[in-house]
Amino acid sequence: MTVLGALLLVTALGAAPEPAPPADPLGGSPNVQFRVLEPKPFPDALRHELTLQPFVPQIGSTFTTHWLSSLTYTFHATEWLGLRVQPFWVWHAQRSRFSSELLSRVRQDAAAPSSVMLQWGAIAAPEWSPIRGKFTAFGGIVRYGFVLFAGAGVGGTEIELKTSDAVGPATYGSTGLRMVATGGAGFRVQLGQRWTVRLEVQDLIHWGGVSHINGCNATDLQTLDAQRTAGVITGAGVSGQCNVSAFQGSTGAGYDRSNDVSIARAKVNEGGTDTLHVVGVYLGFGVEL
Amino acid sequence: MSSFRVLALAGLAVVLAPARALASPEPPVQPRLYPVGGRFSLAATVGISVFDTLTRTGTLELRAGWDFSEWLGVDASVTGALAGHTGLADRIGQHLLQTPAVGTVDDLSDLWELKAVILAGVRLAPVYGKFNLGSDFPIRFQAYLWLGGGAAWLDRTSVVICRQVTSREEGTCGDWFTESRVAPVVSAALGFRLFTGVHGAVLLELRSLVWKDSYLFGVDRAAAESGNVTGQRAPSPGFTNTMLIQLGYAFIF
Repeated sequence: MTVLGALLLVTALGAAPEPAPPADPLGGSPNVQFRVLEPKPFPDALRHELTLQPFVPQIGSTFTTHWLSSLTYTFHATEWLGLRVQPFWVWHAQRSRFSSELLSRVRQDAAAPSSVMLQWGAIAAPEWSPIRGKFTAFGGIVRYGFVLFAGAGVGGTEIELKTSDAVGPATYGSTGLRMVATGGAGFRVQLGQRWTVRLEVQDLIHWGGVSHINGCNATDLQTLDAQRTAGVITGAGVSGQCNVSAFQGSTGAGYDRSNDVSIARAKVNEGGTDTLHVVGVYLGFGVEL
Repeated sequence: MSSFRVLALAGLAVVLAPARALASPEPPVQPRLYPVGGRFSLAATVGISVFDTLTRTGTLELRAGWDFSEWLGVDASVTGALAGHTGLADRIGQHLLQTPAVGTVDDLSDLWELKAVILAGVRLAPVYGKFNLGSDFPIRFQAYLWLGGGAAWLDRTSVVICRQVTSREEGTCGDWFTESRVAPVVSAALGFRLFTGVHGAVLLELRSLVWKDSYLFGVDRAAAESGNVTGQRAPSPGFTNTMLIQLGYAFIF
């Protein structure tokens, strides 16, 4: 009877529609009423963190493509709040594959305000770590934090003038400094007392129109275009900010830079504004001091 | 005296032995609260495409899965999709139609729109952890990588090849060139199961769907506008990658 009862009990348990979660080994202990919170093994407060993001690809680009590198300094004021300062350098910015396709197949080009590219910049942003946790992976325990940040800074910008073709590579003109706003989120994993790995998605947002190229406004470019038609660009009569030398001489491939004047003039005369997003995936390796 | 000393030391050892064990206990490791190994799951998700250029997509997916262990499972899913052109695609077509129909034109890539897809794949979930929302609301989660493939039902409406121009001035077309096909598709996803209990989890997923593109090169615009679409298939059309963010719920039995 006892054996039969045990068999019935085992069968009933096996046929249970859902397996019960494993018992907490401390759950039944009369000595455990509250779990003691584990202190953070690697505290962050009042520490400095340097993170290098060597290769940041842009994702979801429409008319332009950016690849950049970034260095992020973070001062952790408390365990939850920090301040980050992040200079970045765009070492590859060019017309996107889609934009090239539009130009070659249907002879349409993006509007000038939509084609402005970031060259470099620096942003400052408060950083918030609202969520911390740990997970097991491949037999080990990894501690991580989820970070959110938003801030602003400045960036240098440029625009493509001549497209890359048989005559030579593309040429670019500076469109000046712009305010850059940023926002992002990601995970920060702590590997021991000193090392960190960050995986973040960050949006660099800049906006505006194209009113100057190489410092020259529409009137300056009209003057330079007239001089070019007359034979030589002298730069006489243009404003002091206009960098005339950017439209003089030739490129290494033999392209006459004065041809850029009419292209720049057309872009400045287009008017309009646009808000541009450079969304990148930032994989960074850091050290905490 | 000597035997008394031995007895006293033995008694002290008996008293201290448990105390030593209590002073350095094994670190308490909490077992998984929501084990999934050996369990079946049914899920439904909705998704939208991100990083849209010429097309945008919304999806509704039903998914069945089986977890062989805590870190390895398989899924099969059926997805229906609503897709269409973005405003940018429509503007490109409009501007092209406003130009005279002279010479040949190449169609644009990445214009196939997802209508339905069936997928099967492997789910690798090496990460199980928890985080706290607020001070007293722990969330247990699994992070997984999904790899698989299947077949996609695709439609395509050109923004370059128009068979009947309605208005040249306004750049409107009454009959864009359309195609349909079924194509093999490869998919990868990175996702999270955020457990709400033993029976279920919220799914949050970033999924990539990749299929081979196909479009026409060298189409005579004037001939196309009189209903005769010419040209040949692009020899190296490349691949289209559609990224989806999916949110849903899985019932785990």
